[in-house]
Amino acid sequence: VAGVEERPALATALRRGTLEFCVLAMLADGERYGVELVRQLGAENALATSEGTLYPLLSRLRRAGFVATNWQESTSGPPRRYYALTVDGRAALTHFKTEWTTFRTAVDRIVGTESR
Amino acid sequence: MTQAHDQLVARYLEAVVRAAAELPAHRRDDLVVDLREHIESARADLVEGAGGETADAVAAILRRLGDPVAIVNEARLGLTPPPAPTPPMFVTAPPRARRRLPVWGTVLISVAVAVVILCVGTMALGAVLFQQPSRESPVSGTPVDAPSFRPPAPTPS
Repeated sequence: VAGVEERPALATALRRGTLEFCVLAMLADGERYGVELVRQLGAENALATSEGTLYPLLSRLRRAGFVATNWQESTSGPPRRYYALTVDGRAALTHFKTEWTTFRTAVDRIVGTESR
Repeated sequence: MTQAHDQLVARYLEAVVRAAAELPAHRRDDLVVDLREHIESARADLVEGAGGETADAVAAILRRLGDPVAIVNEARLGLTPPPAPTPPMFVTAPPRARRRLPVWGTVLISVAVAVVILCVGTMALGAVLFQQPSRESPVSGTPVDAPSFRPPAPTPS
């Protein structure tokens, strides 16, 4: 009964609180060009997010001081905005990793989805 | 051709602005600037690419960006709160059924403690009253003096 309508709501609920850390994790190895970052996340079907919805997310991360942006000249077209992890962003990511592992383990155990 | 593509983009951004009417102005401006930048960069990549910029390719950029309303809904959200948010001042009382067990537990523990105190107290009193003669001179004065505090036996009248 509560099937088709529930699924997008579930995906939204699961995404909330985790997607921002996926963004931070993607910046862990170095700064990234915004369009490229957004394209890669938008292409992850399981995350069920359009490229456009990632900009408000990036904007929040910027306001929170977790990411910083800078402009770099491009050989084609306008200058490109690059996103980089800040010290606070890296700390937030580290904290999330611990929390996530604990959370995931508990849910897996209760729901019965442990990998064997 | 490019003018037609510009119009496509302009219509999309107008739809974003309309959907974002209730957002604070700076948030709305941030959002539109971000999306415009994305579109311009993506279009520049098209021009660089082999296929050039076609209407389909521009439409695809906008389609991947997604529904303006969904984007604005995302912009309404806050970040996940940082660790340890302050607890609310007033919490609604938990349902009665969940509290009952702890209350019973407390009552049981209280009764048990009372019984133990009574038993130990009785034994201690008994020890003081009845073992007195066998003790010569304890360090503490109280047990020695204890007999003098005994009320005199009622004299039969």
